[in-house]
Amino acid sequence: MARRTRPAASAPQVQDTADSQTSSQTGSQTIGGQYPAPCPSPSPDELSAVLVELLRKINSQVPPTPPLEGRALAAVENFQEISAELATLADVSASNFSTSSRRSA
Amino acid sequence: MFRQFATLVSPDFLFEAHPFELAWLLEETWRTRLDLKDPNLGISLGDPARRSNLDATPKYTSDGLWPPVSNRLRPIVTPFSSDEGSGPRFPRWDHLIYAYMVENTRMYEVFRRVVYEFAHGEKLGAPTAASQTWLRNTEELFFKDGAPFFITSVASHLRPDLRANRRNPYQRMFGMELNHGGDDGKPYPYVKADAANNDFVSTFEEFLREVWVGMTYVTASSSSNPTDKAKIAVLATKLKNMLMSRRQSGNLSREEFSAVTAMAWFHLTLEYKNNNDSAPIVEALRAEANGTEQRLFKVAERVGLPAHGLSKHFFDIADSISRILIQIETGDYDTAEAAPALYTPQAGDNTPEAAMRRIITHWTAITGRDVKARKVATA
Repeated sequence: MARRTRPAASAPQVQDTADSQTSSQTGSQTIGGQYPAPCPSPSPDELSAVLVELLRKINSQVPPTPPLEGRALAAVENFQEISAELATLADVSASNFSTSSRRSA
Repeated sequence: MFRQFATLVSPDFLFEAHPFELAWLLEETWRTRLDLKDPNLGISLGDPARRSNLDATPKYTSDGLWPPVSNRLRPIVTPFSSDEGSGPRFPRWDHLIYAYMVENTRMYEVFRRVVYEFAHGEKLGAPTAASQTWLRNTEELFFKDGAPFFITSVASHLRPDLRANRRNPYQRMFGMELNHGGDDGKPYPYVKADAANNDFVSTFEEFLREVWVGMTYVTASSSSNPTDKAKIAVLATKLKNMLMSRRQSGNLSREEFSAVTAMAWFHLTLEYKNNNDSAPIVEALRAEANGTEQRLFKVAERVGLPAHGLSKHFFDIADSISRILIQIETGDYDTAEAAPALYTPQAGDNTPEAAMRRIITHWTAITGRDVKARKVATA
């Protein structure tokens, strides 16, 4: 079965038309189909610095998790109590559960 | 229960113990169970904190050196003592859903074949010295009718088949059957009850779906938040009511205890341990592997009875879903105010939110139904 291949990328053909004249006025192309000299690519270090800064800003805008209170907090505590009562070896090794934790009747 | 015992003594002590000791340990666990029966507390019979009004052994057997267990196993029945204080233990056992999930791996059937082969010949080779006690204990405790008067002895002339005796409560509580039939592939015969929670699965999935919405939008600030706390509470109450209806007056507690105990024994055998050491029977079968489900696959391969391919998901969901259902039965999520506990992340891995995430992930894998997808309304 013949494998379909993607056509090779080629530079866009710029036509010397009225449209290109118009666009040349905006600075995106030059008359004659020549692109301006490309901007120098940033180094990987510069890129990562920008990304880190961007992530820091995004993270600083994530609202904090709302705190639990009242019955929701009590439910979490009861879950932890039940988990301690049913703790298995995996629980103990994962979180150092206190297996001595037991509810009093 | 055996997985909880293993946090107090070495699992090797359990595997090497005399079956007489193990049977008494289970009796003692039932006798000293969490039992909040003070009428002022208003806890109904069958509630997670008051599962049954049946006695295990008579009270006089609890005096002195009773129960008759060796010193190696005594920490299990000894009052706890720590920096926080001391006092008697009030053991609790897993919810029936734990047994249902773990049995779906086909673990019980695989080990049944193991015991069968060792009892009838040397197809698997001769058992090692260390595995002899495991084989004896397993046959005595989980492939026999059980000693008379013991709380775990749920087989009788009226219900002689231990496997059918578990399928019946599964069907009554969850409206679900195990994913495998008998060895011949045919549906396993058992008595189906008319009074069964046939809406459990649809209600539970709706509950998971609503909690997932809450998880998705818990920190949303720039969009509308479709989390419906009231609906979560309504679904939790609906689940509680249907489960507790089957548990009226302590119904099904003995069956639950018996099923959970049996499954925990085999589960402990497989999950012990993940540091390249194994239970005696796993070593005897040369089924060492990394991970509980991988050991099961190897044991299954030895006896020619395939385990379920999604066994890891069944093992991983079992503890979390057991704990959440116990909480639902307790009524912890009956109000909208408590619902955020199910979807709000908290520090650590031991939280309802973390448990719900595990349940949602594994439930989706097991059932093939994506509870993270929103329901599409049709006109």
